[in-house]
Order: sequence, then structure tokens, then C-alpha cells
Amino acid sequence: MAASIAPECNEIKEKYDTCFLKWYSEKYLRGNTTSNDCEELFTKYKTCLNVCASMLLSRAVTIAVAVSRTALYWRSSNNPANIYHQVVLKEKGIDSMLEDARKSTTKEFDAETLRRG
Amino acid sequence: MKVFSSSCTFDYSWEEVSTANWRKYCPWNDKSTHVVAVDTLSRSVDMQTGILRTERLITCNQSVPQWVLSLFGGSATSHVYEVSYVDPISKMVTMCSTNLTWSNVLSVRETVVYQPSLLDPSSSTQFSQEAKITALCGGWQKIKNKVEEASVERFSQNAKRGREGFEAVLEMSRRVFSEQREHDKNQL
Repeated sequence: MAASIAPECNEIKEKYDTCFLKWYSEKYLRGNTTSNDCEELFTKYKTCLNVCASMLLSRAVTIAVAVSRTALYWRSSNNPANIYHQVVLKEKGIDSMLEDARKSTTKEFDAETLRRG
Repeated sequence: MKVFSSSCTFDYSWEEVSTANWRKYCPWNDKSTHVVAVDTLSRSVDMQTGILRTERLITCNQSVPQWVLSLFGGSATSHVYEVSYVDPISKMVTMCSTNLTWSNVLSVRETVVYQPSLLDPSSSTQFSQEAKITALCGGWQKIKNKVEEASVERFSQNAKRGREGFEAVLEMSRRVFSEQREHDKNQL
């Protein structure tokens, strides 16, 4: 099974993935689509992801700051308040990217598949 | 915009393929090592249709030239957002994905479909893949074309390796499942 974006969540993710795969092959594909075997593990896994998100993002910031030779960085480089603000924005990077993608593409994906089905 | 498409057949049943698909990026797959993490963000079954809908965040570490990183101020880690649908009645898996990283420069929209093959529906599965790649950066059309061409090239290399890697996962899955069955039988 693939790792989690947050290494701290690997263990619970592994448990959830194993549970899901068992449910998928033994129940879902055999017509029992309403059972809900792995809900508890999924909740724990999602909680772990949320807790780790901030730590993870601060790691991303370290990289982002290191490579920020962009205009944005230079503009703000004299002003500590701006730097702080940029960092916070970067910290939210993945969240907002996801939010944007969800807004702009999910409907499209859903529509495409529904049309097909 | 450039379109990349490919299709192939896997000599495994749709049930096997759709199950193994969930662990396409695992240590058994030594060809897709650029995928470093796969996280499930949401998952639900539609009560009316029985369609299983899953949202995942896929994290990749691409080998990107240093000058590209400096230019765009990015990092070698990139993220892909994927929504997949499993229709157990019509036996179809549809996976739609889009890039989250560099989405202001390049848009990559991929659709993958797995369904039972027409010739041998009970034991082989048809895979088809289509990616629409669009360079969004301003500038000359010539440059956009170059960016798109290079991206299609990279995409097709990854697709080929992905297929090879998935073959290995399918083989291992079949082996593990049969061992498991054997084990369960002995337990009884």
C-alpha cells in the first residue's frame, strides 16, 4: 500500500486501506454496497491527516521559502510582516489548491460520469 | 491543447483489476516510484446507483530540472487530485484527475476507464486513458506548443511505466489472494 503524505499517519492509513480492500473485494463487488465496515478507521485516519496537515505544510514552507526567488518573495523581503503573511499563505497552499480544484472540477467530473452512466 | 490517449488489455478479470487498482502505487510497483503518497480524502456509496465515489490526493516527486524549479519557484513535489467512480452494476471504473501543482502554468486532465473487454469479458479488462494537456502560460504559441509537447512526452513515458508497474501489482495480487484462499481453506 502506498504511504501517506504525513508519515505519522502511515500506520492508521495502512489499517484503513487493508480494511477497505477487504470490504471492496468481499462485500462491495459482491453486491453488498451498503455495509459500512471501515468507517471508524477512516475517521481516525482523517483526524490524523488533519492534525498532521499543519506540520506537513510547515515543511512545505521551508522548501517554498528556499526556492522563492520569485518577484513575490523579493517584493516582500524587506517587510517582516509581509514575509509572515506570505508564509501563512503558503502554509495554506495545499488546502486552497484542493479547494479550488474541488470547486472547479468536481462538478465536471461528476457530470461526465453521470452522463456516461 | 494536446491530447494523449492510449489503451490496452489486462489479462485479468474486471474484479481483479478494479481491486488491484486501489493498490496500484505500492511497493510491488517498482515502476511508479515517483508516486510517494496516496491519501483518501473522502469516500461514499450512492444509495440509488451503488456507485462508489472516492476522492484522493496523490503526491509525486518528479525529477524536475533545477532551472525549471528556479524559474517557477516551485518544488519537486507535486499534487494530483483524483475523483474515481466504481459502478459495480455496469462494471466500470472511471478515474478523473487534475494537477494541483503548477495549475496556473499547465492543465493536465486525465480520464481513465477500466471495463470488461468485449472479446473476453469474464477474464480480461480493457483499459483506456485520455489526457488533455494545455499550456496556460502567456507568451508565444510556439512556446506553449513546446511545453505541451514536452508534457505529452513525459506523460506517455509515465503511462508506459505505469502500465508495466500495474502488471506486476496484478500478478502479486493474484498470488496473494490465492495464498489467502489456501490459508483460509486449511483453517476450516
